[in-house]
Amino acid sequence: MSGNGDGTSGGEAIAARRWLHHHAVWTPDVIQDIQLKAELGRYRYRGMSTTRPVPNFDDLTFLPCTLSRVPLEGYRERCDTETVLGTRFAERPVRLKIPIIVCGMSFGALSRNAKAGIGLGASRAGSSTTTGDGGMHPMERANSERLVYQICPSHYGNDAHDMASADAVEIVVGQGAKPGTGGVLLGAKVSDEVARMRDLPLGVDQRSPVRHPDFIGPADLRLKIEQIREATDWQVPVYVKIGAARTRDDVKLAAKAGADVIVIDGMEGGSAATPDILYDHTGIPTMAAICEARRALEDMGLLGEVQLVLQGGIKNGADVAKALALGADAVGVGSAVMIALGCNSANYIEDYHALGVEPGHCAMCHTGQCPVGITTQDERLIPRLPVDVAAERVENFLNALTLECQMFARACGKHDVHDLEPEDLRTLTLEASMITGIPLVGTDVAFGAPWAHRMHVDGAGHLPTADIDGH
Amino acid sequence: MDAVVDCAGLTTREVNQALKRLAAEGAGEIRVLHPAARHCLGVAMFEAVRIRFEGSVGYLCCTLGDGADFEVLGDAGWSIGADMHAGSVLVHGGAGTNVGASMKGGTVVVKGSVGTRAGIANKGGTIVIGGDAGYMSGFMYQKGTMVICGDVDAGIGDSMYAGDIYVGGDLGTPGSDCVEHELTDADAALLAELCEPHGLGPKRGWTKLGSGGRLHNFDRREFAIWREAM
Repeated sequence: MSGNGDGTSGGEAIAARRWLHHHAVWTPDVIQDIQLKAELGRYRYRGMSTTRPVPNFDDLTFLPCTLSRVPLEGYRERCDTETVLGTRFAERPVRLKIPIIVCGMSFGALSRNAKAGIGLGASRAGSSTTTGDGGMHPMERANSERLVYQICPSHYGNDAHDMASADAVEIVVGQGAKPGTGGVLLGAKVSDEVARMRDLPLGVDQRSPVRHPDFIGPADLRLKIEQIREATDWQVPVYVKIGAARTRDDVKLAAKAGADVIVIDGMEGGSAATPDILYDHTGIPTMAAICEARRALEDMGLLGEVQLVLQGGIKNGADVAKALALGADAVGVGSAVMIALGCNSANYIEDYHALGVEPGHCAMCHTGQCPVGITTQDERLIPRLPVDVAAERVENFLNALTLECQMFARACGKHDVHDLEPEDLRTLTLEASMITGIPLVGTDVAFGAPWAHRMHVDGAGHLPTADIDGH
Repeated sequence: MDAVVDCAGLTTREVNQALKRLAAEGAGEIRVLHPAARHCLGVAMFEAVRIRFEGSVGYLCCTLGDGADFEVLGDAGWSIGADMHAGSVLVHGGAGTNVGASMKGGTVVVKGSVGTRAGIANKGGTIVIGGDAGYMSGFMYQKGTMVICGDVDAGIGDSMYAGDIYVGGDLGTPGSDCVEHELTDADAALLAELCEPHGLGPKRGWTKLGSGGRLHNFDRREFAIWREAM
């Protein structure tokens, strides 16, 4: 007898075995999570974004031109990428050469070299970059041709002169990594310079508020936007950034309040420090958010008049093209830009090991000990990312994204990337069809909610819908 | 007075443009007539000019300033003086919530009582309130000085990082990690300097409040205060 297999009997033969029970609930990750919390006495922090698979743009595929439609030459034929944001009320809309912006990431979360390099690289690529929760660093302004100035709930580093020098102002209502919760910058990163810019004690664990100190709610938002327009003499666009949750309602409220541009940050959005539990259990995925946002503007008759910027896990040109096809005017990239800078690259491996991680799996931005010098304020680590190297890598990455996006547009026969449309797409999964209202491959049926027919039926009604309401 | 702007018949943008133009032209003092509690008046004034609103003003007025001195002969709405860098605001009546929110510098004086969250996220400004202040005043206060001559509602100084708050009346229930500090002769001199020019003083007697520092960095031995933080 070798025992009954559950360790309750069997003597020496049982003891010699190593049973590997594959628990459905108590996976190694869950066990580690519980044991860490038992040591810490608090929630865990980490950087990057959700580890949870959610419906995303990989669940969509393009239908390029074949016999039924004529493609453009993929490698050479003209395909415009110019993008204008803020055409609704501002005297000077933001004019970009590409449909990609760099999202807000604070000086504090990132080093000054990273911020300056991103600004310079984005400028060369014809993009814009965005400040973050901590004010405008002089190196960032000096290196950024087009700079969006964020007003975050904390108002850290809020400066009317900096606002006046900005090319757009973005009121941050929330972020995709943790909608409904404020930012975090742990004490290791609150250096002399960061503390001075944010008016905080040196080394404090900064936990930002989630509500602005000077307005609350959508009715006040209208006044806040008016205040910014008065402060900037109506010259520059006012963006409103929202963490994706009740996106259809939120977009309507922001549009009604007078936003020129609405920035939607989906559940896959990144952060340099967020309570681990919030990444995976708050908000809605980026793909779902753009569908809701588009519906909201369609409901209000403002599609095209109010521009949509979509961000949250955008990783390649396919994501860019799919976002544009679903209704975004531009996309924002943040984590991908950090990775382009060298985040998680296999350099300084001993420093990754000191953090208890391997390159390719690091999410230790919150510690301030970034091995490659991006998410740190440590003077020993900052020089590992020279500004010129950072700028070149950011420029290259943004150019590559643009070229990839153009390839999809040309393959779909479009002379402008903004001409991509839902009809150019099909879904690979039933849930993506339900979310987007786009037909599942091989079915010609849009399984989406009642709005689906508005997005996809052609003039002759050739794409029947199977609405969930039975309409 | 050097110049006059009459709000009647003008848009808010036109009023603000007129104020900036007159200030740039060197007007030392500007009277503003019929403000009618309008919002967003006197925003981002960077010039050294004295502006007197002859009536009440609405939300977000006298905000984002750097050097202008404002006087409001009536009451003020939400967020008077918010995000100011330098200069001053003197409100003769009362004010709504968020007085002096996130000020970096300068001085806001409200002779009457104010709403909730006065001095929220103060980053270095000076705020003087002649009457009472509402719930959660001084929330997430970072730096600077706030003087409340009357009573405060619950939550004063909740989660404050640093800075000083003086209360002349009933303290209510102070917020998380807001602790009493000893009053010094220097404090008394500062309070006299801030209050007496406006004929203000404590309702009963001064109490000085500040941060206990226990929320600066997480310590599991202090778990109770983190759980109960408002």
